[in-house]
This record gives sequence, structure tokens and C-alpha cells, in this order.
Amino acid sequence: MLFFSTILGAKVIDSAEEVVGKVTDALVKMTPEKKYPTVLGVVIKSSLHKKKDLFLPMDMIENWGPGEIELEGKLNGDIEEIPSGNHVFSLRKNVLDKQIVDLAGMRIVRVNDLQLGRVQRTMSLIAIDVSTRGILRRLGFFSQSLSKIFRPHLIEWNNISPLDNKIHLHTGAQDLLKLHPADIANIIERMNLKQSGAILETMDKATAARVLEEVQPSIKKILVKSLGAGRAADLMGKMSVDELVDIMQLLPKYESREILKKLPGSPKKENVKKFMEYDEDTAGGLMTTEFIVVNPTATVGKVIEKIKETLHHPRHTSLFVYVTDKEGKFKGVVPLKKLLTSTKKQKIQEIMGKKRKIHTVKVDQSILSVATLMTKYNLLSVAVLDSKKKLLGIITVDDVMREFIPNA
Amino acid sequence: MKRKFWPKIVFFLSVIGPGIIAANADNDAGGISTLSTVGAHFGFKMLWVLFLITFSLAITQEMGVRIGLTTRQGLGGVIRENFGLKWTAFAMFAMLIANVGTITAEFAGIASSFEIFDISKYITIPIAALIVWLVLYKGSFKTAQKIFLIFSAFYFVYIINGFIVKPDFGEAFTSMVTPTIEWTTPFFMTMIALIGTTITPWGQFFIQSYVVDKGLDLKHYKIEKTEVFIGAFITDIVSFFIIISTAATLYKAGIHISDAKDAAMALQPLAGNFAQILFAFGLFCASMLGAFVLPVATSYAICEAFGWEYGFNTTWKNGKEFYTIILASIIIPSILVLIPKIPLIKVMVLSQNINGILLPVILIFVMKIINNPKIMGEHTNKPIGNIIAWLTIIGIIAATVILVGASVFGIYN
Repeated sequence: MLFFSTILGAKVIDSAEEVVGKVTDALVKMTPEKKYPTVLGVVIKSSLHKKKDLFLPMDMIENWGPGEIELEGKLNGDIEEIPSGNHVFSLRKNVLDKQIVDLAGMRIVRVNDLQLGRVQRTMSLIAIDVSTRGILRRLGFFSQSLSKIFRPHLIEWNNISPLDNKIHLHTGAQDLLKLHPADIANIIERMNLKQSGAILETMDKATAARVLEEVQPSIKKILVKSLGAGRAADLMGKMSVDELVDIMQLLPKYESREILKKLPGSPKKENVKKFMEYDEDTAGGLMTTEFIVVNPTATVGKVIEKIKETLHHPRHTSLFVYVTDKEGKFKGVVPLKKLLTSTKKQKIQEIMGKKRKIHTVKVDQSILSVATLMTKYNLLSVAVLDSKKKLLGIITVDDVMREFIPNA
Repeated sequence: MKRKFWPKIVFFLSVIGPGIIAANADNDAGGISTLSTVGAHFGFKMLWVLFLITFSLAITQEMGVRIGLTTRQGLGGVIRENFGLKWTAFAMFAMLIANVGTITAEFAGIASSFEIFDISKYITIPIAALIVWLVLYKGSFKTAQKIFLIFSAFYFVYIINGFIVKPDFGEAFTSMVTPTIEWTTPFFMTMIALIGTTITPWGQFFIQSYVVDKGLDLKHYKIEKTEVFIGAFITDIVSFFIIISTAATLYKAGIHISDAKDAAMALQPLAGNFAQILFAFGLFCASMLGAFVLPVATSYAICEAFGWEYGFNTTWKNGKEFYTIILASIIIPSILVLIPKIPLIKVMVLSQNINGILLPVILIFVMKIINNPKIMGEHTNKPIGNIIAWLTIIGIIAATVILVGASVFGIYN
């Protein structure tokens, strides 16, 4: 295994067995397509040319070995220029010692060393070493006797996502998008603001919004602030009303007003305004408005059609449909199971459960009492009513869970 | 839900801000014993040092804030990304030694505060170490930190006391601007400790992480700068009154501080017979605050620099380095304090000495970072900041050289 640390500072020897310099860096080419970045060559501090920095392309190098690099032929006068460009990166400046996302482990790690090797005959960057062993190797403390205590830990390059802003810009964060938004959120929580802001920038709005929803409240607040009202409103336009209100309530008054102004879509805006009047510790503060409402006279077939329409909407829960009369007064619920087992022509009021009392909560009831009720009667969701029995929203069990375990 | 109560406290503390919190945390076990020793053994003679390092403290803390706001990373991370692994290991080692020293001082402080009531350290230290670990591990770290921070504001009683003892303020102010040096080993020892307890390596890491964690932005810079300056000023006002209080009581009476009971006597003009209880309470709170904050701060900085997973939500398996460092930095200091007949006050002062001696190492890194436009952009240092910071670094190194010379050759004794 060839490690970058053993090449850094390696003697460069030409064919006349003369030491011509020392390796100070290596350059790689990174493109979005290529799995392993190709090594273009090494940068050396020449001992001949007045200690100038020289670039030696790969084809000049005959033999790579730890501590020593042998050149093909002699180092003559005409020196190649150090390559530059959007896809050329320095291993020392852009990768080594920097933070990187380990996509498999879903965490942020620091690059302690780099493993190089031949992939289809071209020297490439294969993996990063994130182990303590890598640290010891670079400090010169590693010996075989320690190899049992400090296990190697290499992560293949195609399983990581660099955080360096320059690399990011030119190769994209697509690989990060393979993860679940909640996992991306966990990673983002560990990054510094500059990085997390940049990552949110590179994602499409819908994904960014979902990630932002999952970030824990204290960091969410900071992130929204640093995104600025414009971009924040952009993302938040993709969120459900209750999530939106949650964020609004984290922010100081003037900032939430600023975002509200820039929020696209007016019906949602009105809803948010209405929601913000509820205390966040009450059922009103926790409820969501994204659920399916039907009339008692609607047929089962119609209702099933309606459910199909909301299929693309990931947050809509369709385990229950809620029944209200013309004035919006709550009449009851119908579980999905019931819909599936009824005939299409049956009317909702016929199949609505009447035997037992349906548990509902009042809009100003405390969250704790809502949670108690839901736990006691094993409810997956519960309807929230105002004093006139009008249906305002529902609370689902995952809203309640999030409330009590905010950092998950 | 406890939400309703905590936002108020959180809000209250967010108004206080990092500058003042860092400043208050400076008055820990090492601080109180060093300052008491300064006053009791040398009277007003070191007030000029305190006066000068107030500026140094303000400038160095401001630099930490600026690096944090610009890089959005802790100091450990910035060092790692810009100086490579070897220098990082060196800086982290220096910080680790300084911090373990300070944590030892905190445990010595806990032991001392109970020894005032004749409760043996063999009982108190194991219990305290266990409490610290449990509170940290159970995750109510931030709450504990805040509670003890509020209690440790007790040091303000020294200000009241400072007026009650009716010191010669005229003489005190003259001493502040008249450099006096005694060419003795104890003088230089104490002087370095005074610097080391005011400007600390961990304080440098702390302030930077604080602004990063709070998500403060460059647009907050002006406010933060003002706050840091006020913080430095307040710290040193408290320091000033601790020195004055001990100078007016112990120094006058010619009493050398050899345990906490002696140091507590400085509060007698204010508290009379309660002086010892008051002192013990304050020392205990400040020590506990440090004992909570420092192991975690140490572990965070090291893990950030070396890329190990950190934070109390990591599992034991993933975060074994994080937990190991915390445990070690609780257990090792506890064992050191439990060595029979170890002079606790001396341990506390000595730890600040170590801090002072190692401080230039960290400050030089800070200076290299803050003057590098590649890292700082347009926010590099202005000449005045550089001058004050370099004078501080040179001053400490010079004092250390003299001290080492004195102890090796023994010429001044």
C-alpha cells in the first residue's frame, strides 16, 4: 500500500542516481464522472533550480516507493508548468487534513492520510485513511508492534464526499444525496456553518427543505439565519405549514416577519400567520394541516381517488380520512382499512365508526396531555378542534415523538 | 415540558455572551489562589502586570473571536488544516498539558474548599469526580455549566470587600503604572502564574469554539468585540479587588498563604466569621465549573483536530477517543490531588504557571493564523493588535527564561 504521507518529503532521484529534490505535493484531477481521481504528477522543491517548485508529470516517474521516487532520465532545463484549472486539486492543500463526509458511516471524518494505487494502470487516489494509525504513521510513531491496537480504517474515495468548497463547486454534492434527508441533517449538524450553508446551496430546493426540517432546532435556527431571508423563504416554501411554523417560532419576531414576506404562495402564508398565533406548547402549535378531509356524503370511491391524488406528497398521512360537515365541524374519522374493505358506492357516513367515542383534543390543550391521551388510547393521530368543534388540524404520533426527542 | 422555564435562562445567558462568560470562567480555582497569592505575598507590587495584561487579554480574546467568525471552525481545526499534523500534535500536546494542569487545580480547589470544614479529600475528590463524570455523561452538561457559572459570580463579593478594607487606592493606582520587579524566583513564578491564569490556552480555544457553536456571524463582530473588551475589563477588575483584598489583610499581617483557610481570611472584613464559609462556597462553585468545562473542552479540541468523533450523542464505540480523553482528564487530576500531603494551594498556583509557560505556544499559532490573509481574508490583524500580542508573547517568554535561569543556577536566591 502506498500512502501519500510516505511520498510527501520523499527524495527524488534521477537516472544518474542524483537527488534532484523533495516531494512537496501531488496533484490530482477530479471530475464528477471519474470514480478515482487520477494523479497528474508531483510537485517537488528542486535542489538544483534555486529551490524552485517544479512539476513532474506522471510519465517522468519510473518508480514510486515510500520515501523515494525514481525518475526516468534526467531532470533537464525545460520544465512543465504546474497544471491548474477547475478540476486540478492539490492533495496536500485540498484534501489532506481536511474534513470529509464518510457516506457509508454517515459522519464527518478528517483525512489523516491518503492511499494511492494503480487503477487500470493509472496512478489514482483510491482511499482516505481516517484511522489513528494514519496519524501515528505521519508522526513517525507507527510500528508493527502497534498494529494490533490501532486498526487500519480506510474509506474508498467513492464512498466519501469532500467538503472543500472548491472541490464541491466543481464536482457537486450528488453523492451526498444518496443519503436519507435525516442522515444528511445529522451530518450537517456536525459541520461548520460555511460548509453546511454550501451543501444546502448545492441541493435542489425540495431536498434542501426536507434536510432542513430534520436538523435539530438550535442548529436549524442558526442555519436559517445564515441562509438569509430570501433563500430561507425559498426552501421553506417547500415545507409543510406546521414545519414552517416551527421554524418561525424559533426565530426572533422581525426575522420571521421578513421570511414571511418573502414566502411564495399566499394560502400557505395565511395558514402560517394563523398558526403562529397558537402557543408552541399547545396542540395548536404542534398540529399539521396536511391531511384529507371529506364530506359525510362522499362515496368511498371518490375518497380513494382523493387519496391517490396526494400520493406524490410525502408528508400527507392517509392512514385516516377526516370527516367534517359543511361548516367544517368535526364528524368523525374513517381508517384506511375501512375504506379498503368497503364497496366503492358506499357513503362515508355509512361506514363511519359510531360505536365508540372518538378522542379529539382542543387547540389550547397542552402537548403533554395530548401525548398522554394518544399513548393511553394508542392513537396514531388525533384531531384538533376549536371551541365550536371545528376541525383545525391533526397531530400525528411522529409530531409528538419529535417533540419529546428533538435531537434524533 | 421544561421549555417554559429554560428559555428565560438561556435568553439571559445569551445576553451575557461569550466574552463575559469566558471572563467569569477565568476566575476558577487556579485564578482565585493565584490572585490571592499575588496579593498576599507581594502586596501591590504586581498590579502593573495585571494592568498590562488586561490589554493582552482583550486583544487575544478578540483575535479568537475574529478567527472563529471568519473560519467558522474551532482553533484545533484551523491549526490542523493550515499547519499539518505534526504542528497540530505539538499544539494539542501543549494544550493538553496546560489543561490537565488546570483541571488538577480545579480538583485541588474542590478538595481545599471542603478541607476548610475538615472534610477529607479522600472522601470529596472521588465523589466530585464521579459527579462530574455522571453529569457530563448524562448530558446535562450545559445546564450544570450555567448553574455553576451563576454561582461563581460570587467573586463579585471581593469588590465589595475591596472597599470595606479601605485600601490606599492612590497607592494602588500608582502601583498599576509603576513597574516593580523583585529579582527572586517566587516573584517570577507568581508573575507567570498571574499571566497564565488571566490569559489561558484553553480560554483561547473556548472563546473561538463558543462563537462558532453559537453560529455568530461576521456581522456580529462589532458587538462581540465590545463584549470581549468589557469581559476582559470586568475580569481584571475582579482580579484587582482580589489582589487588593488580600494585600490589605494578609500582606499587611505578613501571612503567607499555605492553605485555603489562609486565603479565606481576606474576606473577613466583609463577612467576619462567615468568611471561611463564603470563601469555601465560592471556591467550590468555581472549581466545579472548571471541572465540568475543561475535560469536555479539552476533548472537543483534540477530537476536532484529529478528526475523531465527538459530542455526547456519539456511541461509546464511535466516540471512544472522545470519552477516553474526558475520563482521563478527570481521573488523572483526581489521582494527582489525592497524593498524600500534596500542598493544594501550591498545586493551584503551579498549574497556572504551566499555563503561562505554555501560553506562547498557542498564541504564536494564533498570530500566524490571524496574520495569514489566505485564512483571514481582509480580517487580518491591525499593527496595534500585533504589537500588543507580540509584546505579550515576548514578555511571557522572557519571564520564563529568567525563571528557568533562576531555578537552574539559583543565582537570585
